[in-house]
Amino acid sequence: MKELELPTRVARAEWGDNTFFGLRVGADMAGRDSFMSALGLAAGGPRVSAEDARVLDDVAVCFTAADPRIWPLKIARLASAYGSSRLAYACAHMALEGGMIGPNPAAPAAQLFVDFRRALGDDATDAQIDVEVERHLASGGRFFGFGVPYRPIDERVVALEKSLRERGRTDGPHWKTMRAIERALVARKKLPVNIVGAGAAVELDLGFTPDQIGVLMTMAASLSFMANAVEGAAQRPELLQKLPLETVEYVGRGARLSPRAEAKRTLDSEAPALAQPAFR
Amino acid sequence: MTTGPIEDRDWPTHLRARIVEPGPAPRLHGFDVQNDLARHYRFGESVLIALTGEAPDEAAGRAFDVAMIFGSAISVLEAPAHAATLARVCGARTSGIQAVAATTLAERARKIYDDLEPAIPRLVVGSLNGMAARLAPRSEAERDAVGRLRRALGAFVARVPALGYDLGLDAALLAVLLACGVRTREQIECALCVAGLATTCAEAFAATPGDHRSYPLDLPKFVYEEARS
Repeated sequence: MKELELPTRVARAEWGDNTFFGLRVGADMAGRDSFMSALGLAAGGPRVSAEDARVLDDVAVCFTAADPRIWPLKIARLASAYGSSRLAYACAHMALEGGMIGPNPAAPAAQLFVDFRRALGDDATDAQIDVEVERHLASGGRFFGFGVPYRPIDERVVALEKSLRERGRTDGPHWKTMRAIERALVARKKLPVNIVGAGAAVELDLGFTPDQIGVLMTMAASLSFMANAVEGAAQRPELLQKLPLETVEYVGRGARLSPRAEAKRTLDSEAPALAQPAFR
Repeated sequence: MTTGPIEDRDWPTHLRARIVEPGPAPRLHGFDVQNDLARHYRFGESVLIALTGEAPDEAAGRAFDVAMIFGSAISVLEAPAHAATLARVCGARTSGIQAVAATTLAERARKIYDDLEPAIPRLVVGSLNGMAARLAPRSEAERDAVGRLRRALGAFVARVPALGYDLGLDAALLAVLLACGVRTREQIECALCVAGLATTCAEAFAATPGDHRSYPLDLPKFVYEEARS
């Protein structure tokens, strides 16, 4: 018989308190750790200071772009149209599984910055960055975290940088690497950094790994998903449950008979008597 | 009100329907659902039509049904039925239980596809060529199950050349799906998911909402490893 045991570092229920990544929730965390700080632990990352947790807050808040017309947020609206906010919230997250919009590029974006730093260090010249960017482009590499659809720059990066500057957090090595890559990419491809790339850079500077940043950024998207799921479930709009027929354009196969219906019709035409209801 | 990047751009004004032509007499890939498919095809065959766009012949339709029935037997030992059962025990609404079942089934189907994807070209042509050991059944009981699949398929086995080899059940079912025209990752994962949904949900519905005490909470055991001091 197989060993019916699995290891966990997450938690254990104990008498009088619960552990969470080695900490006691009541005795160690309550009143000290913020939600984002605890989220950092949940992602498998370090227990950040209160000041660092506020930076995580900045990223999560600035990530917000909750217009219900935006693709994944429309999913939250459609899935909540029958009244469940929780399932709709989960649907919006699931819809981005493996996709390349929303928070998903965060981990590869962070890995890109790690790789650039590993290759060039922290004192690379513009020329060295240019060469590395060219090399990456020539090898077919993608620049996750760069590119802002339908607008010249990502207003969320502007907001994040303002907050970070006020906190004195724009001098981290990954943040600088991100900006250096952006300079080169804007010159070549007109690809400014987006909030995913900027958030990944600042979270690397807080000590998180690329995979952990993927988790943190997913949770950052929660704000937008949840807001739409909650309002959508409250509205339960019949309009979204089923749009009017005139809003659709059918572009599929034209009308046709199935092979069995065709055969039946042929048979009926050859033996009309058998087509009478009494023989069906 | 100010404008924004969405208003300041032209967008399509209509949704595109590509498979089901909506309306009071809907069509699936052009076939009249109510007046044609419902009269001449079984439900399993309509799933096959939806996935492939073409109406199967009688033998392929029957073989697809056989594969789907074999693929439907997902017991509570497997994560989809286990998770759905837990959702039931937790008192979730039917929609929540179905969502848990469908999500976990979809992940299970993805893993099956990922595991077997390299073998798909070999399963199509029926030449395992170096992959026989990897695709072989893991036990005599599994070998027997594939034997039962061959018998259930009857003459259709001739259209699944890979079934001439000593395959595990997942590989054998995949070979049958491929022979039925279900070829792409999307088609195969969806078929596997549809196959298991009703049975997975039924297993969950058989549990009692709120009956937390009769659930084996410590199976398997999770051994806590202190992460930090």
